[in-house]
Amino acid sequence: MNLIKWYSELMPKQKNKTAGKCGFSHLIALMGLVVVLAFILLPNSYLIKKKPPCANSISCTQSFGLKVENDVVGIFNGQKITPPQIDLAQKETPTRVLGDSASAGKRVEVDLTTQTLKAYEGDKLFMETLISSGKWFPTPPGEYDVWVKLRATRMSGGEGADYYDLPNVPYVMFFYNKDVGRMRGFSLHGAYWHNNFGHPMSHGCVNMRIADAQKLYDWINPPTKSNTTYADKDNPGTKVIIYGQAP
Amino acid sequence: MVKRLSLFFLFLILVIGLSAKRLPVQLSMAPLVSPIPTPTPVPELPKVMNVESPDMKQTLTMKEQKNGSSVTHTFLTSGEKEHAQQQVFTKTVDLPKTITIPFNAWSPGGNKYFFLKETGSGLDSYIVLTSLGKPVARDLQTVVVEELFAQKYADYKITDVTGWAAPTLLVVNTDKLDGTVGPSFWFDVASLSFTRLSTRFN
Repeated sequence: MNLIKWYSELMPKQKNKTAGKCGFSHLIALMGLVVVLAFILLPNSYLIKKKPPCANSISCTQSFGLKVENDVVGIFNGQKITPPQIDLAQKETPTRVLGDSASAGKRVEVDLTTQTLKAYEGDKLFMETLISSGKWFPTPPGEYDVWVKLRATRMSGGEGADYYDLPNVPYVMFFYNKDVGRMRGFSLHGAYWHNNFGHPMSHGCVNMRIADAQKLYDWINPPTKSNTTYADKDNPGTKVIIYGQAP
Repeated sequence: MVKRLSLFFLFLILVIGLSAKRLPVQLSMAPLVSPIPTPTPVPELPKVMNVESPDMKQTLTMKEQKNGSSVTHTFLTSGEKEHAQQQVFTKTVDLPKTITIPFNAWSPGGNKYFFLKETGSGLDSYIVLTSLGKPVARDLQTVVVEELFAQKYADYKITDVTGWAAPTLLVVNTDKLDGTVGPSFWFDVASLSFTRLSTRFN
C-alpha cells in the first residue's frame, strides 16, 4: 500500500517535468509495481517451485546420521522432556547373518485409519501394535523400502507452539520410494515424548512405543550391523506399506 | 420266676425290635428336617492385570477382587529399581461398573502419572494418580478429570481421554451438549488447568 501511495505522489511531478517520456516510464513503473504486488499477494507456490517439505523441517538431513545426546533436554508441545539415556556400548540388538534367507518375505503394514502397525513374515504375524501417524503433517500412503536404520538421532521442526526438538529419538527406520525420496525424512521410530498411541500425533513419521520400536528395529531388514545400518543390494530393506486415511 | 424272666426278655426284645424298626424312619426323616447344606463359599481368586510403561521401566498392576455385586480394584506400582510393589489406590465399585487401565495410561518422560478409566454408569470417568501414591496436586490424592472439567466448561461433555500429549498434558476430547462434535482440550495435571485446542485430536 505504501508503494501505491509513493507512486501516486511521484507521478504528477514527473508529468510536469518530462511530459514526452511519461508513457514509457509509466509503463515500466507499472510493470515493476505488478511484479512487486505479485510477490506480496500470490502464494509462493505460484512463483517458485518449492521443494517438498522434509518431515523434520529443521533438522531434516541432519537427522539421517547417528546422534546420541544424553544430556540434552527435549521440547515437545511446549514442555521440556528428558530423553532416554542411550548407551551405544551396550549390546542390545541380536546379530543376524547378513543376506539371511529367512528374512525374505518380511513386510510392515501401517493402517492409518486404525492407527495400527502389523509386521509379517510371510503369512505369520510377527507383531501388532498401536502407532501415531502424522497430525501436523500427513504420513503419505504408499509402498516404501527401509533404506537406513539408526540406533538414535535428533529430530526437530515445527514452529511456534508446534516447535519440537527431540534428541535421542530411538530406533529410527527411514523409508522411501520413488515418489517420496530419502531426503523427505519419513521413518518409523520410537517416541518417548508422548503416550497417545492409536491417535495421530507426529509430524509425518510413524511413532511407536519405545519397546515396540526396538522389537521392530531388531527384526526389520537390513539386519542390524552397527548403530547405523544401510540397506544394499545384498540386504535390501523391508517393505513398508502405508494405507488408509488418518482420522 | 422263670416265667417272669421270660416275659421280661420278651419285652426287652420287643422294645429293641421296635427301636430298630424306628431307626430307619428317623434316618429317612433327617433330610426333611435338616436344610440342604449350602456349599461353603470359595473366594474367587483376584484377577491380575499388568500394564508396563512405554519405556518398560514401570509396571502398573491391577487386582480385581469380586465380592458379590461389587468389585474391589487395587492398584500397585513397581519400578525398575525398587522391586517391591507399592499400593497406590484402591476403589470398590458396584457392578456393572468397572475400572480399566487404558493403553496410554502412563505419562511420558518419567512415568510420574497414570490415569484410569471407570465405565459402566453412563458417562465414563477418568482418574489421574501419581505412580508413587503421592497427591496429584495440592491436597488431591487423585483427580477426577470430568469433575474439574464440568466446573469450567458447562457446554461440553468429555467423550474420551485418549492419552498424554506431553509429560503433564492429557488429551481430552469432548462433544457439545447437543451431541455434536466439540473441541479437544489439554488438561495440565500439574496446574489442574484446561487449554482449549484449535485442532481436534481424533
